[in-house]
Amino acid sequence: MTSAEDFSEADLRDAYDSVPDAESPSRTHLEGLRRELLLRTVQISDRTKFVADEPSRSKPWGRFFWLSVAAVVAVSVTAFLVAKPDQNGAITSFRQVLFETGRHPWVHGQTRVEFEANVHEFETWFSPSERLAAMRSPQLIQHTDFSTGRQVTFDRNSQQLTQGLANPHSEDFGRALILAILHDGDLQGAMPFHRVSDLRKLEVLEDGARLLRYQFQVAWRSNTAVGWETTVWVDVESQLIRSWEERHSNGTTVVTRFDYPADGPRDMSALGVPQDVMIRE
Amino acid sequence: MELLDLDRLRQRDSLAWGQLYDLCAQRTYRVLYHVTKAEQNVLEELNQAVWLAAIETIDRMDGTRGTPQDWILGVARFQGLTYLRRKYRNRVVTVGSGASFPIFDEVTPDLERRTERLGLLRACIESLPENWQFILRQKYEQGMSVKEIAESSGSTVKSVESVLSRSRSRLREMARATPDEEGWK
Repeated sequence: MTSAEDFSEADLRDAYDSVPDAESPSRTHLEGLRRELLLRTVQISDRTKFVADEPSRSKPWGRFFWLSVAAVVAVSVTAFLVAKPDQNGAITSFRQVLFETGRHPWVHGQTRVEFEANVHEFETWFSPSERLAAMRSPQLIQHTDFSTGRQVTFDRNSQQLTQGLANPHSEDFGRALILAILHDGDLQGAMPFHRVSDLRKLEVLEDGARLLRYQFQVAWRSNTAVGWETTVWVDVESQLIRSWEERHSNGTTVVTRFDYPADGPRDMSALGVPQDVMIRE
Repeated sequence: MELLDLDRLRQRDSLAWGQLYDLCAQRTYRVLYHVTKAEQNVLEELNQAVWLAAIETIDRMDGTRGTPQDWILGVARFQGLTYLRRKYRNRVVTVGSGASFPIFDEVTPDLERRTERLGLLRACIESLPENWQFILRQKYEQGMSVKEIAESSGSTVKSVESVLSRSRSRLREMARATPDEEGWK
């Protein structure tokens, strides 16, 4: 490397004459990087609350139901909120992936949870434009309208249908996660009791298909030994998320594979709940 | 500027970092362009590396040596020079993932060095305050005299001369001191 230390007046003229002005970075790059940078920041006014509050304890399977919904919603709601019609082209950031994925009318996830010898599977749906989410497992069916906060739950064992408002402070329900996304529109905002870090991107070839692998770490703020690593696989060509995988510090793995149907369940009957069941408030 | 208060940056305050980013993200990209002449995808990866390194190392920034803007532009020059060093050492370099390999033109070493040197000078110019850059451009690109610059900007000859003098001094200072990882030695 040579130094510019001993430049002259002629060098200064040449620097303008010989060196073309730099092109400006793309808007996609600027927006994606801005979001990635801000994932590593905090809102000062909220910090005390973050440190003081403890995450709520979750029931083993109930938590993962909503982790799956959270995954769908994290993909979709975030993207919905920031949708800009002129964004297209190659995926250069996770931000854009979220945007592209959220353009679909419905996002459907098939989730498999494995912990030691136990395996549990369930489905989730989310519509970014209609603000509807649903979950169906062997035990439970749930439907939530995010625009009204109305949630209906059907217990398949007792055949009881209950209706209530989402609890924004319960992580079991996942509403806190959703509200945080709606409020902040970023991963850190989505998980206010956690620290999200080390977002990485890698392009790989799998059976001839180009995939982007995004990875980030999540840890509880109150106990950084507890957390998980999220891996998100994205198809470069379609710009859609293929799967969202979480590997937790206790050995649990949660894998959600996505597809993008044209339509989805707009009410409980579409999820298979008999229409003659009475709703209890 | 209150929002760019160093303490707020050290606390990873989103407002302060958003403000610094909005002020400087395009400039760090241009600095990287002038230092490296790399392709767009490489520049984007380098620019990403600049900002992610910045937020990781902000605690080590010496606030007595300049503004956060000066510092982040120094980080960009460092990243650009590091890229160049690796390029010359290995002749092949990747930055992050998905980056393409740089294309090496068949040019003479002298011409290559001259081009690189002028690029570094432009990167240093890009790191100056923008009103200083404007006066430098009038002087060295448009060939205006100090008197003409003063008249066109409603300033005085003495003031323009002062800016030019300080600019050259600052450029020499920047060119002499290759920034370290934190942006400053």
